[in-house]
Amino acid sequence: MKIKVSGWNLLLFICLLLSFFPLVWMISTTFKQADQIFSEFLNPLPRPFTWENISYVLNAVPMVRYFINSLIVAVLVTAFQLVTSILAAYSFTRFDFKGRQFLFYVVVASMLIPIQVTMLPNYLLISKLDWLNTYAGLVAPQLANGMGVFLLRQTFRTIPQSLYESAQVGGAAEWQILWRIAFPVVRPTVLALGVMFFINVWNEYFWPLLVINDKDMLTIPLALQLFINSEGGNSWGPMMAVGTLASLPPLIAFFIVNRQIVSSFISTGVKG
Amino acid sequence: MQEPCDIRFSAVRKTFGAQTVIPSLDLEVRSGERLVLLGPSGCGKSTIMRLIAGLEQPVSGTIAMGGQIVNGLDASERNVSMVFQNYALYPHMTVFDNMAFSLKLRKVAKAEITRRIQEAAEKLELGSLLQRKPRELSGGQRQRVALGRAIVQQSSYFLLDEPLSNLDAQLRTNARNDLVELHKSYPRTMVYVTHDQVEAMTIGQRIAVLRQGELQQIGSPEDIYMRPANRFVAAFMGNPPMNIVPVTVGDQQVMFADGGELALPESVLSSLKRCGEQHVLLGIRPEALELWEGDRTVVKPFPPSIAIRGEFIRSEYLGAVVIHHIAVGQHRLLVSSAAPVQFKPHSNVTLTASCEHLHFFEAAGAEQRIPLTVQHLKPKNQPEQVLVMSGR
Repeated sequence: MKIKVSGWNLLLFICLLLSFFPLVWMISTTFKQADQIFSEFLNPLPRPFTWENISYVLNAVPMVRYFINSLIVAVLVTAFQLVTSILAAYSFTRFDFKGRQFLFYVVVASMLIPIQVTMLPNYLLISKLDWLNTYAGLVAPQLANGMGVFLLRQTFRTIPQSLYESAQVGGAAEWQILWRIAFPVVRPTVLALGVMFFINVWNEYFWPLLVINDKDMLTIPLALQLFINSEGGNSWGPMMAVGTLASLPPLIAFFIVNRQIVSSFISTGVKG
Repeated sequence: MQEPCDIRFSAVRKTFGAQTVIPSLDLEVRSGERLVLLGPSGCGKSTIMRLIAGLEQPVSGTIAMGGQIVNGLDASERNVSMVFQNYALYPHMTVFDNMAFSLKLRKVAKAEITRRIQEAAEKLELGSLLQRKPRELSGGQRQRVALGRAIVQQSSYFLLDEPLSNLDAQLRTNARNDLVELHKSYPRTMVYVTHDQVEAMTIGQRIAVLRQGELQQIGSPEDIYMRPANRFVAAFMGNPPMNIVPVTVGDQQVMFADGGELALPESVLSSLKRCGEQHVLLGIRPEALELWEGDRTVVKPFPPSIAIRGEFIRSEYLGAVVIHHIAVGQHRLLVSSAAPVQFKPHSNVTLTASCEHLHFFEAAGAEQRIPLTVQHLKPKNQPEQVLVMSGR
């Protein structure tokens, strides 16, 4: 195969290196000994290879507990956001009700509001409910997602009206039409959204920082700061070990679902 | 069928926002018949079908099915099955699952589902395709799956919304026959929507012609073709279309706008005079006209006939028929014949037609048909031989 290297290819390659460098550096640092981290800063290969950063991290703080915390929050939020997005988007597509367009604009507008605007009222509400330092406090403000509603509505709209009507004439109730006809067709979008939601919540730093100060309730991104504060900011090995551990679940989730997303895209041959 | 499965629309009105699609419709579909709703796009025929299916609800008026008023009843409760123009097959299900879908919803026993699907598959030659997904099928196969899915439901009403419009011409001809045959084996009340008059004529036992949501005429294909109720039906049915020329009724003849005259038998003229209109429309189907070379007068007095002189322009050879363009004054008439002719362009020709094949319509208002009485027996002292002049 002949490969033609043009200026653009070179530029793209440099961009690729730049975007991969932090990731590679994080992973290699995880397995390097403390003295090798800066003496061989650019060398991606850890010599000697060591597990000591990982084992230090696992022993110094209740890492497994933080993992479970993060997982519970991420799974709950993702599940809720998907369910509410699907139901809302389906309603916006299928039912003709008064104020539908206005309501939809409100949902879209909600995407434009930054967290800094909602943070105080949300915090006060959660605190009044006595939900600080609880899963409920972490999950409750994120049960719906305007982006999900918007994207799914666009996808539902690509389904020909006659598909819904055919099921309706065939005797299907509305929830059956949604679950057995519409959902299988939009499944690739739902999976992609699910991964996106999961990664967003998993990486969330700001909101947990506000509502959690109980050490047992920390999520993984918050656990990272333990190493910055307590060790004076120079324990790069353990910090990168937390980082590597933290990026595993989203990466795994992405690779598992990635195949499904691709295959479901292929199998969704809505008649043209 | 034991119970009557007729459909009756009484003063049904349907609007979408400010737009009135069906002003007020009275229509009856007889139990077990094949009724075709025919009309140009936007005439409301699909809306009527959706009203029957329960996918739309009327603003006022009543719809009764099998004697029961069904206004407000949801589509799932109407015992109808429907074939959509784009087939609406569920893309993620196999052919078998597509056909089984609504049976499963209705809790039909598994063995019965399999039996019905196999029976339908055999009839529609889908046997080898049952495990395929819709995207692996050709257009014709998808269309048959959509039909099969409707058949297995064994509903009392069978609704088809332009089901053949996505097929190529050859397949469409076969599919038309298959549909008629299928209806013989499953004699349900069938409503078929199309804008294609050939489909309407071949499939319909009766045809309802619609225009802007109003019923123009309902009747057998022969009725609609031979005795169109108004100018719209006359012009819509038939290819090439009916020649329609405005004329003025005189004492012994009708006059064309450009000064030409057409002498008519007394019996026809008196029918025209009876209706009291002075300006009327004369319609003659292209195949009702005979083409002769040169100037000719009608020699046979029976049946009473007319002759029109004109100028040959050109012919279009279509294989089975040849369409000739004839200039008569400022009008252009079409004549169709089985055999080609060897006339020179601009040569004189004569068109003759039996008076039975003349149609007259009011020139104003609803352009209704004016009923004619053509006397077949020669009245005493009155030769029913006529001819014409036209400004050539």
